[in-house]
Amino acid sequence: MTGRLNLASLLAGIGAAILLGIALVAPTLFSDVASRMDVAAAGTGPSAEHWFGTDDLGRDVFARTLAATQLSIGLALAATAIRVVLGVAIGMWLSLSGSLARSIGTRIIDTALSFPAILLAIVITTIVGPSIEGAVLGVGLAGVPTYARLGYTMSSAIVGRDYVAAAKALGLGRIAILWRHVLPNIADTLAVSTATSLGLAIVEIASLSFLGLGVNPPAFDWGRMLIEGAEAIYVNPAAALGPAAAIALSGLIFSYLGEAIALWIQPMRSRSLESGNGIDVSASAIAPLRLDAGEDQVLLAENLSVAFPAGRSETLAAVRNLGLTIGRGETVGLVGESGSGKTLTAMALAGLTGHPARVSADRLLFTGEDLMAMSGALRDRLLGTGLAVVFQDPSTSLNPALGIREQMTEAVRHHRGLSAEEASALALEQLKLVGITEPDRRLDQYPHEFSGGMRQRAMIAMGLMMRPSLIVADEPTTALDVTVQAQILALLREANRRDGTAILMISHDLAVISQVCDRVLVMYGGRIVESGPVDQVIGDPAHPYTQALIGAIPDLETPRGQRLVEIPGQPPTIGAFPRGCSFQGRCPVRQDACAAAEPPQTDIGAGRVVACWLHSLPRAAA
Amino acid sequence: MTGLSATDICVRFGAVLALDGVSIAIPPGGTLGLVGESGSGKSTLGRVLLRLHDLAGGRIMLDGEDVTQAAGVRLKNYRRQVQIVFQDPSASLDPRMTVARAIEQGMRLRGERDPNALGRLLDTVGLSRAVASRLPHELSGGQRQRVAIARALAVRPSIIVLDEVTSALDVSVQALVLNLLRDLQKELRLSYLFISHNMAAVRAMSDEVAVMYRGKLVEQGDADSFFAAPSHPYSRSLLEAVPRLRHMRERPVPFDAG
Repeated sequence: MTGRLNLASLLAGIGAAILLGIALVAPTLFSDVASRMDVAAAGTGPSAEHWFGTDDLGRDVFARTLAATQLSIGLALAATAIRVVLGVAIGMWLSLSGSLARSIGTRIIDTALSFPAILLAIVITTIVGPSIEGAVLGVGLAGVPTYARLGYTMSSAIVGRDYVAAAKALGLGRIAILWRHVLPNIADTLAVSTATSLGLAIVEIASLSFLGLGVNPPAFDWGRMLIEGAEAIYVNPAAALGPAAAIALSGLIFSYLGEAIALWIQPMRSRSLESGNGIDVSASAIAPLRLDAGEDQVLLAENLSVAFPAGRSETLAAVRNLGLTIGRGETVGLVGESGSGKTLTAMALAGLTGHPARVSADRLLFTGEDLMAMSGALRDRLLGTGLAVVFQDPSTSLNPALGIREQMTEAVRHHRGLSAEEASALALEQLKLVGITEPDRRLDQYPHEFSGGMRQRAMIAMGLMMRPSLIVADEPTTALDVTVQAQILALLREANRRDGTAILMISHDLAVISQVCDRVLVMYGGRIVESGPVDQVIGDPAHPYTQALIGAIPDLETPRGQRLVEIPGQPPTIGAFPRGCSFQGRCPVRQDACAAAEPPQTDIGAGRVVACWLHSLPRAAA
Repeated sequence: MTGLSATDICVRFGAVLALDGVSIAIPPGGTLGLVGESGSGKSTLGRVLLRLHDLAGGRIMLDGEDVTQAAGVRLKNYRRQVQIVFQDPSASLDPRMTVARAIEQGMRLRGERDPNALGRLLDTVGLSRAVASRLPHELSGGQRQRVAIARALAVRPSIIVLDEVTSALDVSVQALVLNLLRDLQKELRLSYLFISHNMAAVRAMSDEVAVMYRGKLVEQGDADSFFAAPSHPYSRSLLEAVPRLRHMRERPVPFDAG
């Protein structure tokens, strides 16, 4: 946790502890001093004996300020409790009510919210009668609409979740759902807002007392002291400034405490995401396959690794020592499950891995040029013009605030220096090619006016504007319906056939890859475990993982009732890759060699390569 | 008539008719596969069967009893018969509830007092008893989905609505969950409504199939004859669009839905 808390949080924590300490002990320690009148010393300024001076009855202002802490904070706590408990209860209850009750309830809350809270507090206190109870009730009730709104909003978000639907389906009552499922999930946010609200309540109660509506003599809180001090402000300014400082300081402390709680909660939430206690052997003991660079290659990556920093000097490798070539006009599929590193590989090739990922490679050539040796700007330009990326979700990869025309023409105007008219004409042609009807009308629309399938078509058209040599398509159809998927896959094949654009397609679905690609690479645990022509890999898989994967996927020819092949266990995650072969823990034909070392990439003929000891050991023995 | 059936179901979202006169019957002890694309209304129909949506029209019958307007104790009893498992187990499990608490909720409602019941249920869904004290984020996707299945089983339902239960899972984990669901069906004589956009998974699971398109049921019938020869043009285009793993040379002709 250290390092996450900043100085302000630390000070707020210490300040709050001191304040509460004073509130607890000050009345017993200082009540005598605070109420001892010394008319002879009345109204004097600060001195060594009386730090803040004395009031008009000669009482020590410093002692009174400390002694008033308990009442001031106590009243604020009571008022805060009223607003939080009542408000949140109302809001949570509303969130589970019928639509009529909900709409009436939220209208009332919104109307109440349109009055300033302090005004409401004054009105309520005046009606109840100026007294301690009146002030607490006034400040408390005036804050109820805020908390009802907050409670309603937060609770509604939780009520919409599937686990609440599941609880309803189980037959749980409204109170049980609110108590067990909703409250624990909004409690942390509430804690933050409660602490902040406490700071405000201190100020508000003091304001009421200052107006004579709250605490009345002989009792005194900071607000009451402020009136008394203000009357003699020209005689002894400290008598008013003392309580004023106390109000301001405690208000600040509790506001910062709220922020500190928020900071403290956030790491607790994300802690589950940080793995990293697993062993990781990022450096490969085996010399990677040396790849031949050639004229006819769009891309060559040799010994490509992508790693994430973990701790001070360690890194966790997500993609490990990967070798890959894509020929001009070739269609290559990269298949793997979540965590296999397939998307990271594609992003590394496209130069799109963000902080904190670290990409390294012995050689990384794009259209024959060495990306590793290039300046960042040059590399961006080369990839920007030669490589197009199509992402999974076109609704997030298109800018919703920009028209389709601007988004489509931006790159060609920038990189190829086309005029606006030329660029528009090209965009029109590309939209036509991807099968978008009425392209001239569509060009002036915004992404939200397109359906999901049309957005993905537009993304592809946009990518083709630059006549790239390679399209990297990352799960381009996963977010789409099956009939739309078929259209998009056909479109990618068409772009490949028409323009000779090479395609690297990433997917978890081998069947989808087989629709577009001629060659497939199977990734598992950050490595390529098998590669080869797609029909041979599917028809006669060589790696035990590929075999299991194909047996596990049902297809339309799988007879009903036939058991699917189960792969026991879970895929390894980044940071927990085992030494040796990544698949050993789930492999039905595991042998001792698998745990000892990573199996080498072995050529098994017909353009096929497999990384499995089953295929390389007999060879090694011979 | 035994089993769960819904007749002429209409659901309105504002001005939109999300379900328009849909009628289905779940075969007792069997599986009705419900297919359709996003927005076709298939998940809404699943939730309607759980009585999680208000109806604009139609009737729900369970074992000859009309439960369309059931409320209070009758609704609770009905919901113990019919359970649901959702697509995304990380969304359908309360992040702050241990596996044991999530499952025991339902057991307690049933009045279960046997201290070994939780362990037995974990065995049934193939989870180690050690996961009982874990929180959802400490489990893998497949394990979470097993917890969601165990939670549904805890009230001993006879019918389970499976709403895209494998869509959020990795393909190697999907097989485990589908096999488990089939084993449970045989063992506990459960009836399923298997909602999915994955045709192959529906093929592997279903005795009967129903196809939804824009809030309407366009085809319903025996699974074998449906997959052999779908009769509605939309069903045909849907099946043709499915990429085939083992017959990839027959690349589909794209269907333009317009």
